[in-house]
Amino acid sequence: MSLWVDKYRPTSLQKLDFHLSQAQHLRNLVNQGDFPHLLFYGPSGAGKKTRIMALLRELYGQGVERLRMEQMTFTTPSNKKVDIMTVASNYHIEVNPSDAGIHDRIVVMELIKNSAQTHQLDTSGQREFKVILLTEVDRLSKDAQHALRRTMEKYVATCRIILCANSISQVIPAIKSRCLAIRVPAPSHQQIVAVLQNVCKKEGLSLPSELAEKIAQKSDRNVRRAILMCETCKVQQYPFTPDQNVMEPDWQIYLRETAKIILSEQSPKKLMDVRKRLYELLTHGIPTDIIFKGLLTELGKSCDMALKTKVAELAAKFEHQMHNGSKVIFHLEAFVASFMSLYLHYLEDSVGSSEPFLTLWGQHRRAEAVGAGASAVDASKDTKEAVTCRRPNACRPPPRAAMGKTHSWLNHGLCR
Amino acid sequence: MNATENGKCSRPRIWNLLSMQAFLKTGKISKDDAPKPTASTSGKEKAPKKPTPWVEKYRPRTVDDVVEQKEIVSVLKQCMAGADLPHLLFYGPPGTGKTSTIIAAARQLFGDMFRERILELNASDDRGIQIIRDKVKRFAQLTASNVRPDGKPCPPFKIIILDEADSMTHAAQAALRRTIEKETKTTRFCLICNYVSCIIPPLTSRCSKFRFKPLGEGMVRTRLEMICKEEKVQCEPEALKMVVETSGGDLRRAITTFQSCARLKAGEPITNQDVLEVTGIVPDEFINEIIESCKSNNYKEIENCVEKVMLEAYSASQILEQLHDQVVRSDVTNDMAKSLVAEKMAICNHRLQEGSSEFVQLIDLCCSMASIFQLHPFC
Amino acid sequence: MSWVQSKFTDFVVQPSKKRKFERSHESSSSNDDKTSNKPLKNSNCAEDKPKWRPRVKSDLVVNSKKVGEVESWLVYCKTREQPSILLLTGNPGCGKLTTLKVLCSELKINLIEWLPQVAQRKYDPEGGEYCQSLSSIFEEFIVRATRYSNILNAMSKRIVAVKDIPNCYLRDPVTFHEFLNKYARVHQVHLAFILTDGTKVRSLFPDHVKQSLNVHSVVFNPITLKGVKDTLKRLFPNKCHSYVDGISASCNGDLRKAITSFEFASKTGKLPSKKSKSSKSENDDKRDFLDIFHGLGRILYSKREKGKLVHDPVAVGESFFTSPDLFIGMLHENYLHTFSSIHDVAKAGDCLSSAEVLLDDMKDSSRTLSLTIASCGVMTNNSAPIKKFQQMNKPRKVVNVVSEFRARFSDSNVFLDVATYGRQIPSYAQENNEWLSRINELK
Repeated sequence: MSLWVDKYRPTSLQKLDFHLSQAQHLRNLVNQGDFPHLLFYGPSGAGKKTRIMALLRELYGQGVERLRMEQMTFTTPSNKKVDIMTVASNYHIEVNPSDAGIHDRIVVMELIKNSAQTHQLDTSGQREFKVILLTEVDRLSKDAQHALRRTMEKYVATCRIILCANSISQVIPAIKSRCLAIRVPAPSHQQIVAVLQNVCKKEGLSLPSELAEKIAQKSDRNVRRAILMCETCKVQQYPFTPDQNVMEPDWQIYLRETAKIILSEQSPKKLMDVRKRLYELLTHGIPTDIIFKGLLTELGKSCDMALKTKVAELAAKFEHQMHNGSKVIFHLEAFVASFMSLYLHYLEDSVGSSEPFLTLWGQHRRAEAVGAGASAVDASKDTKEAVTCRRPNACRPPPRAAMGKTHSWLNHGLCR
Repeated sequence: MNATENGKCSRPRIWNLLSMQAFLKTGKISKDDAPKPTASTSGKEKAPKKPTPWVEKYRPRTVDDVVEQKEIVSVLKQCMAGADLPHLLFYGPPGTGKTSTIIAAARQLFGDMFRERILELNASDDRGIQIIRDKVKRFAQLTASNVRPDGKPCPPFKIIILDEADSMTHAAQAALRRTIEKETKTTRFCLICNYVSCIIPPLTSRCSKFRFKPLGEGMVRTRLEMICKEEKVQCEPEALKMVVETSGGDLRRAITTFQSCARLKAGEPITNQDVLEVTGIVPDEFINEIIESCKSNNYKEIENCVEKVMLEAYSASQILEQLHDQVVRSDVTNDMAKSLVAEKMAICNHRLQEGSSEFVQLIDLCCSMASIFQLHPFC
Repeated sequence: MSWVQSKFTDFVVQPSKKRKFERSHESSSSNDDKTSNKPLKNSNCAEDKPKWRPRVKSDLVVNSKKVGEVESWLVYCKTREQPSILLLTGNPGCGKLTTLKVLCSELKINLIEWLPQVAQRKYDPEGGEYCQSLSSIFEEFIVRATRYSNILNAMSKRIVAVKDIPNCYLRDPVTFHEFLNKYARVHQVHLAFILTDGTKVRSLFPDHVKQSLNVHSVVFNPITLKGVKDTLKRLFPNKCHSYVDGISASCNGDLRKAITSFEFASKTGKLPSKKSKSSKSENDDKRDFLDIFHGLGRILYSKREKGKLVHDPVAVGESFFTSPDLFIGMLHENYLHTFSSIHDVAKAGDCLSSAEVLLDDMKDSSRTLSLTIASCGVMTNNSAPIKKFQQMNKPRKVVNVVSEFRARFSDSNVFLDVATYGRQIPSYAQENNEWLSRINELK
C-alpha cells in the first residue's frame, strides 16, 4: 500500500490543486512546437516534482508512468566506478547527480551524452527529443554546472533538460539564462487545508477544519509534509478530534532540545554533549542548512535584538565557512561555542556590571570583519601573528625536568 | 574514432556554431538547427515548423541596421569601403549588439559565403591553449580567394570571432598573440568581451577597440514594439514597459524575456505578472516589506518576513540585488548607513555565491540592516 | 682538499677509515663474503640491509607466538596439497618478510618473491605495440611460479610471497577478489601476502573473502623497545651505545628504520666519546620523530612558564606537515577536555574552523598555515588548561547511515520527510521495513 502522498498525487496538469495559471502556462508550452530547457525552483514540498511529472505526461502521454529503476555505472578518469540510481521511462530519465559527490561532473556529462545518443525506443512518440530530469541541481559543484551548460548546448537536438532545484542562488547564471525558469512557490495555508480536505474526502474520512488548519501551520507550508502528518494523525487517532496532537518531525524536536541544552549551561562540558547530538543529527543525514536554520531560530528566541544580530552574524559566518571546508562538525561546533561564549557574557552582563558589554564586543567584531574583508581566515592570522611574536621565547629548549614530566603521562596515555 | 570526428568538424562546425550561438542567446533552438542525429531524422521531417528564436530573426542584417552605436558603425563602414578590416576588439555590456555587428559586417563583406569565412568560438567550446593553437591556426591557414562564387570581388581574408574572450585563460590569450601576428595576411580576428580589463594588454594593443554603450530605453522599446507588431503578440503597455525596465539596456535579454512570455501565454495578452514570473524579479511589495521589517528592528518580524520570501521561492541573490537598488536609491537614510549596508550586502552575496544557506544569510543581512538603521536614524 | 678526493673514492679507492668501518661491520655478520668482495656502493642505502638480516630463528626479535603461527602455517603447507593463503600485516619494519624468509630457509621451502614491475610495452604482430597491464603481468607471474619449478630444487615445496600488490588491485579490490577466487580453484601453490597496516588490508581482504578462501591471517606488532635495543647491540657490538637508547625510542618499533638511522649516526657522528654531540643528536631525533600523541599533548596541555609557552606551537604544527588532516582532526576531537572556559573554547573553535577551511585547499602553503592556525589557536587561547589525563580519541568519521537508502528518492528532502513519517504509518513501515528499521531513532 502506498502513502497518501503518492496515492493522491495529481497526475496531470489539469488536476493540480494550486498554481493553476502556471499549469495553464505549462500546457501552452507543451502545445507549442518547440520546448525549451526548463528550470523548476521552489522550496521543498511545493510540488515541483508533481508538476514536472504532470508536464511529462502532457508531453508523452501515459507512457511516462511506466517507470523502471536502473543502476548506471560511470567510470571516472581515475578509473573509479561511480554507481548512480536512475529512474527512467521510455521517454525520460531521472537522476540526482549530487549522489555522485565529487564525481558529479562526469556523471552529468556521460549521462546526457548516453541518453542523447541512444535514440528513442518508441518511434511513435510524438516528440523527437527525450527529457533528462536532474534533481537537486543546486547541490551540483560549479564544475559540474559548467559541464552541464556545455552538454546542454551540444545535444539540444535530441534532448531537453529539466532541472529541479530548491533555490537558484546556487545555480550559475549561464545555466539560468539557458533555461526557462519556473518558480514554484510554497502553497499558502488555505491551499494546504484544501489539499488535505480533498485527500481525506477521497479516503472517505472527515477532517475537522481546526485540525487541518493546525496541520497546515505545523507543516511549514510543505504539502508533502502536511499530507504525511495527516496520515500519521489518522494512524494515531481516528475519528479525528480538532485538538489532536500533530506529530512534528523528530529531528525538529531534537534540534529544539539541543538548543535548550545550549541555553541551559555554557561550559566546555556541555559543548561535549552538544557535539554528540550534532554527530547524531549528521549521521541521520539531516542536511546542515536545516541544522543551522533550526539552531538559529531556536537560540534566537531567548535573546534580545542586539544579541540576535550577533547570533545571526555568527551563524552566517560559520555556515559559510562550512561550505568551504569539508568537515561539517568543526564549523557547527565553532558556532555553538561562539554562541555559548556570547550568551554567557550576555548573562553575566545583565546580572552584573552596568557597562554594556555587547556593544563593545560588537565593535571589536566589526573592526575585525572589516579589516579582514569578511574572511575568517584572515581573522585567524591575527592569532598567528600574536604567536610569532611570542615565538623567540617559546623556542628556548625546554628544561629536562619538564620534558620528563610531559613524557610520563604521555607514555601512560600510549600504554592504555 | 576521435580522428574522424575532428576531420568532420572543420566545415559543418562553422555552420553549427552560428545556430549554436543562436541557441546560446535564447535558450532554445532554431528550426534550421544543425546537428541532426541520424536516428531521428525521419521524425524531424514530419515535425511542424518551429518558431525561430526572435533574437535570431530580428538580428540586424547590415551594419546600418545596428542601433544606437553610431560611431562604431561609421568607422566600420569606412573600413569596409576600403574592403578591409583591422583586428577588432568589441567590448561592452551584454546585449548591446557586439556579435550582431560583426556578423552583419561579415555578411556585407562576403555576401552569401559569409558562413564559410568566419569561425566563431565562444566560451562553451573548449578554449585552452591547445584549441587556440590547433583550431584557430588550421582555420587561419586556409587561403581565401578574392572573388565570390558569383564573380563579384570580395576581400581575401577570413574572420575569426572569439566570443566571450574575457573568459579565456591568460595563457590562451598569450598563445593568441603570436597567431594574430602570423596570420594577419589571411585572417582578421574579432575579440568580443564584456570587460576589456580581462584581456591582456598585448592583445588589446593589436586590435582596434570599440566600446558598445548600453541601449537607451527608448530604443529597446521601439524594437520590442516592432517585434510585437510583426509577431502579432498582444501585450499590455505596462508589461512592455516592465520588460524594457528590467532589461537594463540589454536588448537580447529584453527580446528573450518577451518571447518567453509570449510562449507561456499562447496568444493571450502579456501582463505585468508574466514578466515578473519569467524574469524572476521580486515584486516591490516584498522588497518594501523586508525594508520595513528591518526598520522595525523586531527580530520576529524580520524572521517571518525572510521565511515568507523564501517560501515564495524568490532567489536570495535577486532579492539582494533589488534591496541594494532600493536602499541605495532611497532617501530615508544617510550615506554612512548606505555604505555600511552595501558592505554587508557584498559579504552576503559573496557567501551566497559560495553556496551558503539563503535563509541564514538573509537573516544576517536583515539584522545588520536593522542595527545600522538603528544607529543612523532616518532623516 | 679531502672532500674533493672523497668524491671519487666510492669508485676508485676506499678511504682507509671507511673501509675499516665496513670491515668491522662485515666481520660482525658472519656470511657476507659475496658483498665484501665488491667495491663498496652506497653503504647507508637500504639495499644493504640484507647483511643485517637474521639467518636463524633465534635471531628473530619478533614475538615468538607470531613466529610460531607462521611456522605452523608453513608446516601445514608442506604437508597439504590444497592451496592456502597467508596474510601477514603489521607496521613497516616489524619483520614480516624477514620472518617468512628465515622460516622458509629453515624448513627448506622455496620462497619465490614477486618483484614490483611497471607495465611493459610489448609488441604484438597483429595489433602493433600495446601495453601489458600490470594485473596480467602479475597473473602471469603467479601462473609461472606455480606451474614451472626450478630444475635445481624441483622437489622442494614452493611458496609465493607477494609484498607489493599491484596498484591496479588496490584501486579496484573486486578484481583482486576475482583473481583470488580463480587462483584458489586452479593453482596448487601457497601464497603469502605481506601488507603494511592500513585501510587497504580491509578492502583487499574483507571478512567474507577471508572466510571463503580460508585466509590465514597473522598480525605483527611493532618490535618492542627491548627487542630493538638488543638487536642494535647484537649487530653493532663494538659501536657507541650512547645512541642506542635514543634511536630505539624514536623508531616506534620499526627495526629497519632503527638500523638505518643507527648506521647513519655511527658514520656521521664523529666520535662516540663526544658526549655532548651525541645527546644533541638524540634530541634532534626526538624532534623529528615527534609522534602524534606527543604533539597533541604539547598543544592541548599547553605548558607555560612565567606566562610564556614552553613549546613552540608553530614547530609542533609543522612537524605534522605530512598528515595535517589527521592532526587537526585529532586536535578537534580532543581539545574540549582540556579547556575550562567556554570563552577560550569559542576562540579556539573559531581557529579550528578556519584551519579546516584552509586544509581543504591542496596548496602546500595553506597546509602549513592551517596547521599553524590550528595549533596556535588551541594552544594560545587555552588560558587555564585542565591537566587531567584524558584518553585521546581518534576523529570520528561521520557515516551517514541513510545515504544508501536515499537513492530511492529523487531528493533528500523527500527522503527526510518520508523517513520521518513513514515509520509512523504501519502499512508503509511494514512494506519498507528493510530500510526503515535500519534508521534508528535520534538519541
